Amino acid sequence: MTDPGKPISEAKEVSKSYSARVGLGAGSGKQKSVQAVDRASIRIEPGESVGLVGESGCGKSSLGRLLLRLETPTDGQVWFDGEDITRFKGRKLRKKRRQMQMIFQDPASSLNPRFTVEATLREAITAHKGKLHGRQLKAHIAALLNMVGLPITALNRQPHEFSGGEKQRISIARALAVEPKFLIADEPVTSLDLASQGQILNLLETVKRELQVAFLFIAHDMDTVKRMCAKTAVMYLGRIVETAPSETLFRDPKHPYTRALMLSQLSHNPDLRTDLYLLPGEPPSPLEPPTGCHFHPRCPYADIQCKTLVPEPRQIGASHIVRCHFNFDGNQKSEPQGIENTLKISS
Amino acid sequence: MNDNAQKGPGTPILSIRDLEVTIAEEPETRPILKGLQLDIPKGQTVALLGESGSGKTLAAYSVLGLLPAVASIAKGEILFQGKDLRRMSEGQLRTIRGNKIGMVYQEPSKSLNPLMAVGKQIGETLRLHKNLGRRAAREQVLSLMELVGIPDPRRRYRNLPHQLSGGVKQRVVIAMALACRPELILADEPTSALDTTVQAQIIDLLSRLIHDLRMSVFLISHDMGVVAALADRVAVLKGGIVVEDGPVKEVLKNPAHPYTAALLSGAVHSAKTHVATSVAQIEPTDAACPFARDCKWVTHICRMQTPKPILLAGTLPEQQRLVRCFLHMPKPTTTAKKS
Repeated sequence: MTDPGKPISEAKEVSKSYSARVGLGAGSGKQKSVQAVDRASIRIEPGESVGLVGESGCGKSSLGRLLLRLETPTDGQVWFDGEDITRFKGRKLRKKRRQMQMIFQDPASSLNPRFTVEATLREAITAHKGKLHGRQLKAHIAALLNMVGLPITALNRQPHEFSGGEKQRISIARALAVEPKFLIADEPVTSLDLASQGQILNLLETVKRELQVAFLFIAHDMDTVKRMCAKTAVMYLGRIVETAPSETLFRDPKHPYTRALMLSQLSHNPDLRTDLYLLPGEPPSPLEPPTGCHFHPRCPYADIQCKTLVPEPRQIGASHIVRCHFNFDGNQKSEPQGIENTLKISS
Repeated sequence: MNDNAQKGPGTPILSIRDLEVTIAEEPETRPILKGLQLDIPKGQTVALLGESGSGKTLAAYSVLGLLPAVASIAKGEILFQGKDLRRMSEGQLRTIRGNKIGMVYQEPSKSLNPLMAVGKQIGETLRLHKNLGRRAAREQVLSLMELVGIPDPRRRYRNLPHQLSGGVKQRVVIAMALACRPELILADEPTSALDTTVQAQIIDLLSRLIHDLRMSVFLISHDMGVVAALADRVAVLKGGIVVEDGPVKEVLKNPAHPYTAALLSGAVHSAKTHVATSVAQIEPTDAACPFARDCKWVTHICRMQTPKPILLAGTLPEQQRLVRCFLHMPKPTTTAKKS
């Protein structure tokens, strides 16, 4: 693969497992390990927007938290701006954090209800940039408000005085306060009504364009990602099953799960109501992941090797990586690859 | 609009007339529904489409007589098979809820008893309303579970809700709603809590049931996709009034009210959504069009009042559309010539 330059943020085969107690009552039950993220690799170039989609519980938020090193991976590496930050701690990590920020799904719960907008922004600025004084601070705050489209009169008000969309503007302003190079937006519009959704997406597009910030968009809504991101990764039960330029992915998805996900989207056109594609079953529990390819119990093409052998990521086109044993061309399945390996490796 | 509806085939199964619901908020009461009009003809699925806070769930609770203590009905009628539900006693309502009106709620885990086997829960309604014995109820429950596509019903019968996945739980809730062969199904955001691939399965199930059992459904949703997939007619709720009402194929493809158009464009993220200016020229009055603040076509009169429903021509009565927007007001001159 040609190197298109130094990525701003990158996960290299990163894994994260948590231990969970299964069963009722405190102190009882069996200790079980949950693999939230399983050898996921993703790279985000400077100024680039990458989408991460999947159903709830697939590990997309966990992967986001790993990239920001809000969590420490159990395996693999996390790189930021040319440095391996996997084992960074304390002051060293905080210094890096200045350059990466997060916008959360629910602005109401991520803003301090007692802080005025000014206090919220001032805290973010001083925590990361050191003390700014008087006029300098004021100018910086005013510029932030202007960027996110809030009037200067908003400064002395508290979060409860704003609508959902306006609150999300405040949290975007807070994220931008430290002039980050990389932003993760975790379902940034899911909790908003439709009209505000459009406005917030417009705002994020402006931010992306004018400040040249790299973005990771975590979403379950394909439309948002298609609109916002040049590249998209699809996750299923802890694994990234397909990564491709959005244009390619939405036109010609290769992984059977990606296809199913796209065909399960409800159309807003009542004439197309019969075209719904039905994938059998439901996302499995991360406590009891299926063997082999996690998707095999629901996959219409699955055969014996899918049950036993974990598919490795394969490059099948320009920046197009898929984790499936098969090659798909249109709707036809070609000869499965690597069937001879089935007997040698099993998982 | 009532007159027009009455001319249609038969009396509607449910007819909400001029419903006003207020919420007591210290120091005063705040109107949420301001004269809601809605008819559900027999065998049709009518969707009430609105955003969060539009009052659509309160409309559903009003029908069932289950309004929270802070909310009360100030005026209006809710006619179910021609009889006003508001005039019924709690005892009479109990013979209707779950029996003649089946309910499907958004969050399946909240509408199921966590400590009771799901088969028994489905059977409870049958035993209560239809006086069925244990064995007869069990037989019916098993066939209901099959009807809603629960695999291996005999084994699932004894499961507790937490042992089932979200999709199967919602199927159980649907089976409960269907148990007594109700005249009307009230479905409040039936798929919003589900994942994409599971949502598609439940939508498919509902649309098959609607078709096969010729159900009448009052569907409440904020999701254009769900409405497009299931409904025959749609009423768009904004600020407590229905701003547009018509066949789903017409309304979603060719919206007449600017609010519906904005919802649709927001839904496809066309980036054309009008950004409201922070200061309106005139503060809209209480009687203003609920979309006046954000409407790009707003005129002076929109900030003062909302027009009565205007009938947009349709060749057949069931194709008729109503819209409450001055943009569709017939020009005074034309009206003068007609009369």
